[in-house]
Order: sequence, then structure tokens, then C-alpha cells
Amino acid sequence: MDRRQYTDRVLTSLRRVTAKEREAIRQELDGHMEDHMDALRELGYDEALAEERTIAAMGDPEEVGRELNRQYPSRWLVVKWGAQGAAVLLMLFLLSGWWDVLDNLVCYARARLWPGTFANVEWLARETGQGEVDVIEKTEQRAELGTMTVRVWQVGLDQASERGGTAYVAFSCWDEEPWAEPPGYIEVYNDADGAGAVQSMGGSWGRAYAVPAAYGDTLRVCWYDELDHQYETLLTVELPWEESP
Amino acid sequence: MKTKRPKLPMPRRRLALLWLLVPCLLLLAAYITDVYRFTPDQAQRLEEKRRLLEPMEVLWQGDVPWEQEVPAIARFTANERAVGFSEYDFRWRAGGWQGFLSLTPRENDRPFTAGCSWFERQLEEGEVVSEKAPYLWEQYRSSLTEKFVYVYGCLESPEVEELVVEFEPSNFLLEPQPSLTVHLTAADWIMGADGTAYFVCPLEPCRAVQSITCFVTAYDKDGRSLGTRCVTGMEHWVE
Amino acid sequence: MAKKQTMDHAQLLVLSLLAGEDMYGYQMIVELSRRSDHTFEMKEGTLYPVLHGLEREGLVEAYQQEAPTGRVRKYYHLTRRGTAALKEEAQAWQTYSGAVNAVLRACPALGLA
Repeated sequence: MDRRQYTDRVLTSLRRVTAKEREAIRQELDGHMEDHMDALRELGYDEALAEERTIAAMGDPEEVGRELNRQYPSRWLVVKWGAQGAAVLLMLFLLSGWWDVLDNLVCYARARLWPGTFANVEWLARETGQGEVDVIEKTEQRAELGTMTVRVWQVGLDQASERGGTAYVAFSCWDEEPWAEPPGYIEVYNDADGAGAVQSMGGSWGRAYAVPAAYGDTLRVCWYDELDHQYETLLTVELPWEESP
Repeated sequence: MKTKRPKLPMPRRRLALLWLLVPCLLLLAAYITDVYRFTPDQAQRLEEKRRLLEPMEVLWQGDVPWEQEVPAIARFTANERAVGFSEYDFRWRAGGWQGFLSLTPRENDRPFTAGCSWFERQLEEGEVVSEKAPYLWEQYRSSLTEKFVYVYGCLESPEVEELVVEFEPSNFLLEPQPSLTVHLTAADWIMGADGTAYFVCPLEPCRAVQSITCFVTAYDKDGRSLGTRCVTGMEHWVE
Repeated sequence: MAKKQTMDHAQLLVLSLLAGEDMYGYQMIVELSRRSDHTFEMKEGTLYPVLHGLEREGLVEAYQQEAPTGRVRKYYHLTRRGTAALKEEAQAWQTYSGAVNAVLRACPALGLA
């Protein structure tokens, strides 16, 4: 019997042992025999004799294996497997929920950092066939509604003349909890004549609206209060009108 | 061959305890992110957030006799701007507790605010005892329901001493059932945290009625009427 | 009868070895033999069930250390619980063996007095 065979015979008696534990035991026994053989080599033994003496000193491999096996009862292993199973079940059971949470986290980041990826004035104009818009400006206005924050970040004007033109506004929304979707009841009206949007795009995280506007008009960003049965103004958005020629 | 010796495997007990943390953390994450609603409070908070409401105080919670298949509760909640009545039920495969909130805006300039909600349960064949029953069962099965009606609200004026609820079921498919009158007095008020008085009045369940009408009248300590409100159908104050 | 030890003597000996310093397997075999003047020369393989059992009970903990030669060895360290258990068991052993000795000494046929 050589060293390898000795450790193999010890390990066969190990029933309830994981692969990592098995490997660690093998290395420990092997290291022990190596240490013993080193000592014998120093005394002048040759390789084969050293190995034979070492293995003899180790004792009966089956007995060592049996005794070792008794030190590895399955209780905690079963607990670990139970916990792993529970974790997998929880992940699967709530899979669609986790997916929504992940999706919301990504949308939250986009709404705060890159609101233009949801909707912006250029896209809205192109979609409605207007083509290029005369003026597009970045702006920064925020308001809170419940746990939601609304941020107006872009305004635009097209064919602004005495006869009137189209005003554009783009905003994004997010909830204070990054994993939750904002309720999203925001609408935009012309503050002067109450005209509503003629075009819109986007979803609950970011929207863009096109509202007919005459020179000097401002836009009203509002939400519908079901308790008062009316629209409440969140923000008044100034438009980048040029000085009258 | 010199390969880097791998690290010692962790002792079993410690590894098992660490792994036990994982499902616990997952449950915590599910609770915090509302992926699963473990309590009706979570469902309530989500409804309030969805309807853009300030947090509402829970003033009354009761059984749900019309829902037998899943656990369910009925709740009466209120804040400064509205009172709400809701039923929440627990569906273990569909995310836990969920429900819908019926809101009644508070009318601070009136003597009281009142609203009405009703819930239905389909009647079983054996429960429909009537001469007309067999014919009705064939034609009108879906209308043969038991209605559970709740009248609730809030006292806006300190002058209100008594509330009278008049309940008239009508358009019976089976035998007519009597109208009800309920008197609510100070003993019935539910006090909110800020001292406001609320009331919840469950009415006797009625069977196979197609329409209900309900009026709430307030009386002051001298017995004078302070106002009557119709809380069903087109809600209005009776002038 | 006086209280017998809850621990077998092999575990007690290993714990007392580690009370002085952290050791690895082969080192323990050599030390044990040396200190007991070659009375205890256990089968070396059976040391490891003892060590793993002590580790499972939390009386020792193991770590790896690299020797200057490049070999990596698994060292065992006595924990606080192990120190306490050692003291208790050593005390129990002293009492037990003292009692046995006293009875034997009192036996005239043995001539141990």
C-alpha cells in the first residue's frame, strides 16, 4: 500500500462529507505522512522504507475512516441544504416580483440621470412629424407629490409667432423608494388658455408633451386630485420666448 | 507541481448558519420592496401611495363574511382629507395581501361626512328558500347574492349627538326584507388619535335585493336635524 | 462512583498540548511522545478524528499557515471554550485519578504505599 492508497481507503469510509471537506482531509493526512517521512529521511531512511514505516504508524485506514466519519454528522449539512432550498424556492416563487424590482431600479437610475432616454422634445417632435424644433433648452425644476418627485428638465418651442406655435416640455418622475414605480398622474396644460396637450409620449417614469401656445404663454404641470375633483398645479414652466421683435 | 492550496472549508455549523441568513435576507428584501405583501398594512400603504394620499389611520377592522376562500379583512381608515373603506384579501400565490380602497372626501363644512360600501356573496342553491326559487335560480342566478352593507364616516361638527341610518333595500327577487333604522350615539363613536369621532355601522345582510338606498341624518342634543345625506347611488345632501 | 470524565483521555491530552502553543498534526504526535516519555504513542491516523471532533465542538479552531519551505500546514488553536473545557476536564481527571491512586495505595497486596 502506498500513501495514495492509504488516503483513498480512509476516504471511502467517509459517507456524509462534501467534496471540499474530503479534499481537505486528504491533504491533511497526506501532509502528516509527508512530515513523518521527512523526519525519517533525515535519519537516513530510504524512500520506500520511510513510506512503509509511516503508513504502519498511521494505523488501520478503515478504523481511521470510521472514526473520522463519526465526527461529520449530517445535521448541519441538512440545515445548509434546507436553507439553500428555501433560498432557491423564494427566488423562483417571487421571480416576477424580483424582475419588476430590478426593472424599477434601472428606470429609477435612468429617470434621475438620463431622463431623455424615456422621452424628450426631439423625439416627440420627430414622432409627430414636426421635424426640427426651433428652440430646445435644458431647464431644471422639481416638485414633490406624495412620495414622488417630478423633474422638468427640457423645454422647447416651435414656430413661435404671433399666431401661436407649439410648446414642448419633457419631465421625469421617480418615487423616493427606488424599487417602486411612481404613481404617474401628471398632465400638462397651457396656463393662459387651459389648452391641453395635443401630443405626448413616454410612460410613468418620463414623459414629453406638446401643447399649443401663443407668445408669452407658460405651461402648467399638474395632477388630478380625486378628493377635490380638480387639477392642482405642481409647477409653472417658463418657456424660452425670444424678446418680441 | 506547485498549485496554490485551496482555503480550508468553513466548519459546517458556521456555513449552515450563514446559509440560513440567505432566505432571511430574501424575505426582508421582499418585505422592504413590497414584492410580497406579508401584512395588510403593507397593502394599505401601497394603496395610499397609489392614490396619492397622506397616511391614513386604521380605526376599525372586521371580518369578511362574504369571502370564504381566502383570508380577508375589512378596514375603515381616515386622514384629514378623506375616509376610506377597504377590503384586503390574502392570496398566497399572487403577492400576498392586496385590496382596493373606496374613498369618501371629508366635508369639513357639513355636520358629518358619510359614505357607504357594500360587498356581495353569491348564494348557494341550498340557501335560496322560496316558492319562486327554482325558476329564479335558473334565470337570475348571478343576481342571487347576499349584500353586506357598511355605512361609515366622521363627525365634522361637535354639535352632532346622534346619527340615524335609514336603510331601504328594494327590488326584491325573493321575499321582501324589512327596512332598517339604526341609531348611533356617543357610545358608538370610534375616537381617532386627534380626537375626531368616527363611526362604522355594519347593516344586517340582505339577500337577493337589486338596489339599496341609505340615508344618514344627524341630530343635535335638542333633537333638531342638522342635515341628511343620501350615501347610495347619486350621493347628495337632502335639502 | 465519582463523576467520570465526559471527555476521553485522547481529547484531554490533545487539548493540553494546544494550551501551550498552536500545533499541526505531526508536531502533536512528536510532542505527545516526548512529554510522556514514549508512554503515549497513539496510532497517528487516529489523531485526526480527535482533532476534527474537537473542532466540531468548538473547542479548537483550525487555520492554515505557510512554512518557510513553502509547505502549507493546517494548525490548530485552542479557543476560549477549549481552554475552559480543558481546565474543567483536567480538574476532573486529577480528582478521579487521585481517588483511584488513594484506593490502590490502601491495598496492602499491591505494595504501592
